[in-house]
Amino acid sequence: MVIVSGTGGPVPPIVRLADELVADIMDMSDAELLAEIEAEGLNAEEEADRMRAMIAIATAQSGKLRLKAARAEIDRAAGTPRGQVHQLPLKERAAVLARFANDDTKLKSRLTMAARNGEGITEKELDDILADLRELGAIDEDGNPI
Amino acid sequence: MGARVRNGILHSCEARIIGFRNQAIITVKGDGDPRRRRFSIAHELGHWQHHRGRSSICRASEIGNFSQGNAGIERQADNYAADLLMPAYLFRPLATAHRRPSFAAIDALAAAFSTSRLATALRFVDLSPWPCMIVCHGQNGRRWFRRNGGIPHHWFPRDDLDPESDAMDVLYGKADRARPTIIGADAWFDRWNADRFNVTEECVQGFGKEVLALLTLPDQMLE
Repeated sequence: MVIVSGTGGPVPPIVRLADELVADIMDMSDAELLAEIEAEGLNAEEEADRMRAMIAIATAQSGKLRLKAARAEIDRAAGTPRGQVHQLPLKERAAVLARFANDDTKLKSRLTMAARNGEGITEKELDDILADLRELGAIDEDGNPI
Repeated sequence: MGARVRNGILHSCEARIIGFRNQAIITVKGDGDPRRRRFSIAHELGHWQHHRGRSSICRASEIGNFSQGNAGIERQADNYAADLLMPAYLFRPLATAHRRPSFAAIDALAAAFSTSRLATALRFVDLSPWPCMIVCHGQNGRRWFRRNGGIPHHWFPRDDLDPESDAMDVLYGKADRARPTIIGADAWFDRWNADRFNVTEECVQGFGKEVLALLTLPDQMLE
């Protein structure tokens, strides 16, 4: 069994050791595991309960950390100024959007401005999408690709 | 996942995702049914998971649209949304706890998972242990259908509605729903031996002028 901790980047030795230990345990049969627990003078049921409790705590802590990270990201995004591309004339704003969607025919058709009775986007939606692109760092305040 | 979700005022679509590199902003219509909104968000997350780097503007007709003609990437995003909101390991035991397929069971599951009746019905058909199928008809005939994996493919539903079926009353607004009824299988299938079997049908109103029929087939039809 191969266990890989994390995604990308060098793995710290302590994490590699933990992975190796987990891999060893996972490779053991149930009988081998029970024999080892008994040899240590431990009760298998109690050990299983203890391990389950530890896993539940670790899972909850991991969830809290992820929630905290997500909250921090939301706060950071809320503080990011939305773009000022909308100060350009409408025709230029539409051109910025068309350029963004150049490689995607479906998206490009959807980003066409609404003609009379048409199904395209409204000017407000156009500005919102440009603001999204500014916030994502795809374009600068003049609508140029970054 | 690197995606932020916002409510917004959208006129031309139900939801959109604007992605750039490993970050995206998902905007969904802030008004309307919260269950629908949840599905739309999950649908856009499906786009982000499967089609990362691309942006997408999804109309209402593309989210949770299970007709055969719906584009591949929209179907993929719908499937992701169903998996996310109604995980099989949670959904299957709750579905199986009901005694038989019914819209009452589907509505109870929809309440439990905060999903729409339609999305739940389709998940129910996919994951339940019963040989059931959902057939959707509009006034111009059959729109789409979905059948449980245990039903042989030769049981293909008819294009038109049989006048004997309660679905007719629901489709034309005489009733909101019809109780489960046993009816000849030939009302729903035009296969040569369909008249030898009976199926159970239960019908409810769908979106707009549509009727959803839940059909349960007997074991003999599975051979």
